[in-house]
Amino acid sequence: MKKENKKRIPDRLYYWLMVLPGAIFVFLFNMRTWPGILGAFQDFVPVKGWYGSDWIGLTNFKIFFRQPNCFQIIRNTLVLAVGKIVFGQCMAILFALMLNEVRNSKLKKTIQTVTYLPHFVSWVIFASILRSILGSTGLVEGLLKSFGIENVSILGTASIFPAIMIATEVLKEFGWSAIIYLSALTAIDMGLYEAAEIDGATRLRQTIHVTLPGIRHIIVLNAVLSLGGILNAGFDQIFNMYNTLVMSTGDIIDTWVYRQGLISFNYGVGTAVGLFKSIIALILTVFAYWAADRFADYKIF
Amino acid sequence: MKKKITKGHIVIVAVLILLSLICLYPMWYTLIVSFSDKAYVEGGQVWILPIGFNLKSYGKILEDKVFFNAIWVSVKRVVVGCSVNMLLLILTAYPLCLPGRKFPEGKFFKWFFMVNMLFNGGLIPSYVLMRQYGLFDSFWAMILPGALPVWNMILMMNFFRNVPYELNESAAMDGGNPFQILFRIYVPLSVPSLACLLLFQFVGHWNSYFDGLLYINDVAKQPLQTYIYNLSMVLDFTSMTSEEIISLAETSDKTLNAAKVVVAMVPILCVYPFIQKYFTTGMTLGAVKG
Repeated sequence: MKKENKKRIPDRLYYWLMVLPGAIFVFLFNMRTWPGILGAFQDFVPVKGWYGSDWIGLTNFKIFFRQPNCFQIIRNTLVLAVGKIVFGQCMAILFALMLNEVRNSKLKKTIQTVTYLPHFVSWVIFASILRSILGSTGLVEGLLKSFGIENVSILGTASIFPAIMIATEVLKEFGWSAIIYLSALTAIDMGLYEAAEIDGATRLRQTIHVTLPGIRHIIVLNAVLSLGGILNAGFDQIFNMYNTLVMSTGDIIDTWVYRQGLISFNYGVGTAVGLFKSIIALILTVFAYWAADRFADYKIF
Repeated sequence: MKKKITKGHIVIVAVLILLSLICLYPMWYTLIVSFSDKAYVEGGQVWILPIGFNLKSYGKILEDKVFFNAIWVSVKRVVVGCSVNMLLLILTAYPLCLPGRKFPEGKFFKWFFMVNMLFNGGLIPSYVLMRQYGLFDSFWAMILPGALPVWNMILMMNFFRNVPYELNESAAMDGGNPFQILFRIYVPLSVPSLACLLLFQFVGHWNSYFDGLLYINDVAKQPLQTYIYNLSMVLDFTSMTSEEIISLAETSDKTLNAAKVVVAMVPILCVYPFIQKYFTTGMTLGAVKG
């Protein structure tokens, strides 16, 4: 056998070549934003940059925490985020359990197709549709008027705005979030149902004693992982739906940061509040992954 | 084992059908409004079927140059964006899916991507950085920042791990270099997962509006979703009274806007049947593993 004389390029060199382009993009557009957090402690002026602006310590944070509606903004964020997580997951589980009872597979497929669809519609479009239905001069208010109920503003009433946001978010996402539960349901041993049936358990009892314990670990896992998103009240939705009339219950950290930083050009304050949010989210996310790994044996690698 | 259909089942099916109708209604409503006569829509009479059926709104759209331009930007963005995403995704995922002894630095890169996924400077530092790079009003401002979708790359890496490693070894024995192994063995064997990720990228690019809003001030360069956002949001809340907002909303052309929204939804509805096959694969791999 002839020995190969040409020296092969080592495989590792190829691997480096493959990883580098992606790594460079991530470095340029993500990692290079990291020094930007210095701006949180500066009177940041873009021309002077993150290394030349004047240091002002924690003033930016103080500006946020001293303004009268800072508590309100944090509360709104928490209410919306927690509401969406709780109602969204409950609805998804309930929907999955109900769908599991449907035996006609064609009907089941159709229901799935239809309920997943809103997930793929962007918030820009969904909000524009919702405004045409719920907004002033929209369909629902017109109907109410014909019943003699006047002067209601569904999207302009602060007290019901969070409820509307949670409901529309749940409507848009419940089908999609149910996928994970549906796939967990198929993994349950059919023998357990047969055994329960022989013992005389009704379908409802079977659901409580066989189905729910069977997907319990997924429910726990999802609950733990959603912890990282506890300050994510859904920027895209709120940004597309809020208005001056509902600021007291609809303004969230993300929209506040956007307005401070990019409308009023208070870069420093915007960065500081963004950083405050990211740090809490980061701690919670890392904790969530740690807990998920520890208690549910979940790993992303 | 045939079970008989109980009352409970009928209730469940009824509830599910009702839920499906509720999910479908917003889209349906927009569709019928776009085909209806303006006067009936303003009067709130249109809600199940179009009244005064006509195609006037679509006729008006055909004359709207800015709108068509926005569609063109979006199409370009989807094509270029998806190509860049998929290429980088495949190239990056492959070395990282290999066992540690083959690519010892892989571990470092995995952590590098992971940390970057979890933490970025935030909205304002990104904005300032893009300005430093001079990417404002550039088409590439919508492509480059997300050139490598890290989370999807991790999914791809997990898909690649399902390819039997023996295939890799035997191909290497036959003298194939890593590029050949990747594109002749791994990629053909992962077509369903790649298709799934491609479609998710497609939807992501088609649906994003925020980068167009932040980085692109020139209306002629804004993508369709940003255009639609501007349709309803040109009203600056901070400087307007609520009466002004309401009167503006009243004068805006509902049927025309509905027609534009319908057009913006068409691509999603077109790819939808294709994505559907891959829902479960994509979701479950992303969420539960092992």
